[in-house]
Amino acid sequence: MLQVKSVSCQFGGLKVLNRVTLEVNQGELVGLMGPNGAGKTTLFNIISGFLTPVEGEIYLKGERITYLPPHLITRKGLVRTFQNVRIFKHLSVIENVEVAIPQSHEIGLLRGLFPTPKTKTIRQLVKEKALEYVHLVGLSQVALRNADSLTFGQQRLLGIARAIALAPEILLLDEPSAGLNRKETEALSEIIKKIHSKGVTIFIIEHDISMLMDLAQRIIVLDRGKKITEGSPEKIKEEKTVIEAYFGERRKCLV
Amino acid sequence: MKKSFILRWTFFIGSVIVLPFIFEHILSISVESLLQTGFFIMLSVSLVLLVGFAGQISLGHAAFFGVGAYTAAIVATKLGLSPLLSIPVGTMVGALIGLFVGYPVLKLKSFYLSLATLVIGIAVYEFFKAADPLTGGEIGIYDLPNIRLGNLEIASPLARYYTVWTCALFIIFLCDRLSHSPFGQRLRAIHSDEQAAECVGIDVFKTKLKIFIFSVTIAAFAGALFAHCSYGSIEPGEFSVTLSIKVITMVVVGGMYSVYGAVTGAVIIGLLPEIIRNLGSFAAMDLTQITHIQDALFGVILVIFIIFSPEGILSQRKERTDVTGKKCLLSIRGIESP
Repeated sequence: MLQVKSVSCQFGGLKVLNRVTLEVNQGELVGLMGPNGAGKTTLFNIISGFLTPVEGEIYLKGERITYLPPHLITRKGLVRTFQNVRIFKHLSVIENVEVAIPQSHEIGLLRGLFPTPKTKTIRQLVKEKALEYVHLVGLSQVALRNADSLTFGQQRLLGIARAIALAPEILLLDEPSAGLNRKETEALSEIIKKIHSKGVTIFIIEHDISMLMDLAQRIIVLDRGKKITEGSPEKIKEEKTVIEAYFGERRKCLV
Repeated sequence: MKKSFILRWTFFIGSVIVLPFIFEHILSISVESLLQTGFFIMLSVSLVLLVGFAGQISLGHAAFFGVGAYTAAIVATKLGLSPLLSIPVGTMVGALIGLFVGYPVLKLKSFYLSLATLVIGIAVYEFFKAADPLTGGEIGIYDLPNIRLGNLEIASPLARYYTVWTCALFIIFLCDRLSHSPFGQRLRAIHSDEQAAECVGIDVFKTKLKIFIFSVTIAAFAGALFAHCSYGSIEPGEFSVTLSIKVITMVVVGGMYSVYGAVTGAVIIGLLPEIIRNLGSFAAMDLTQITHIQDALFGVILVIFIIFSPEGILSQRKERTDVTGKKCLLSIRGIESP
């Protein structure tokens, strides 16, 4: 589904990613972890087209997407969310989802000015679909509120509703549980499982290891721009290199 | 929804019909002053889509108004074309220049964009003043022909008033429709967060370019109409940056997120000078003094609104938190509130 081949990224003299190679298969739920500054979000930015790597290639369903602009990558079925949510604050909750539904993009400037009967059918369809997604994440009660009046947890859910409204084949979630309380995190896990069960491939950055253990089939660990290991959650838990990446080597701790 | 639409438009059309009589007979202000407000409405309504909805602050709107006006005037006087042809030509030239200007300029963000459009506004104004053989320099172009529909010549102030305001109403209608369409939603999404907008599959640059061209095309049309349907002459001073600032003030005062807000702003700012002029004649000030006071006042109004009410008088954001509307929507869809 998604292949990252020997990707490097550099900001000035700082090498943020160093020949990272990884693969996410169709229907998988893969976790990406690593300490702060490991390059996780940078990797997501490269995959989703916001940054271009200094070397290496990205393939989606066998097609090279390395230098495509973000909106085209989205239209090809790869959708991402942001760590700091970034909902559309000038839109209502339901409109946030409506703009993401691909059919609504069929209505351009001209059709907006001079709608045909077909335009109306599309708009009705879009509205119904949007309400469905809003309902799925449990926000139908606030559907008509301004998006910026939502709590942080609700905004996060809205971000996910917006992402799945795009009908993605692969979904990249950037720390979806950051800033959420325990209860909200659990609800979120359930939603992620639900999306995954519908056949969506999921690639997720997560700090909450217990959540990742529960969700992921496979975990990839980055540290200082390099992939240090990957494997099943159980294996990662025991892996010495991972513990060292997070807590440092034993010797250093003693000093 | 439908009922409110009919009510609103009955009110609009009704007030457009009776306004000149109220002005002439009750307030004893000439109909010509209303003419100008009609052009203000076209400018502010087109600008609100670009500034309020898409969040791209342009300070060069008057330039496109001027391009439309000068093109129509030159085509009509030098080539002798009828206004029914010169107005479309002026509009088209405005749209074309919008494309050529918009393409590089919209790559810039926030106040770099504002600065670039401001410079374009100044450059175009200076061009009107300098290109004497074409534009008539400081004096401008006069003896412009009126619009003729068959045997009917639109010459009297009242006829001109109705022509201009009918066009204004039509433009309000179009822009309002666009603002409520999915395209309008995408504009507001871009305003909120360009990167996130890319991530929902919106081609941000293309969308910005489209709305820029749309907006300046309306401004150019308004300008072309202004050339043939206002005072029979145009001069560069009418298209200076002061006008751009005035239109921005209308948008800010009326409401950044609503087409009707822009209309409200245009009406307030358009009619305010008349009131001041009346007061001025009481205080026995001469006309140039009054003009300077007006310009200063627009600046003051703009600052006051930006500080105390950045969303303007008619902010749509309040409308959208309507509780009954929510219940209605949910019951229609048969989804019970959890």
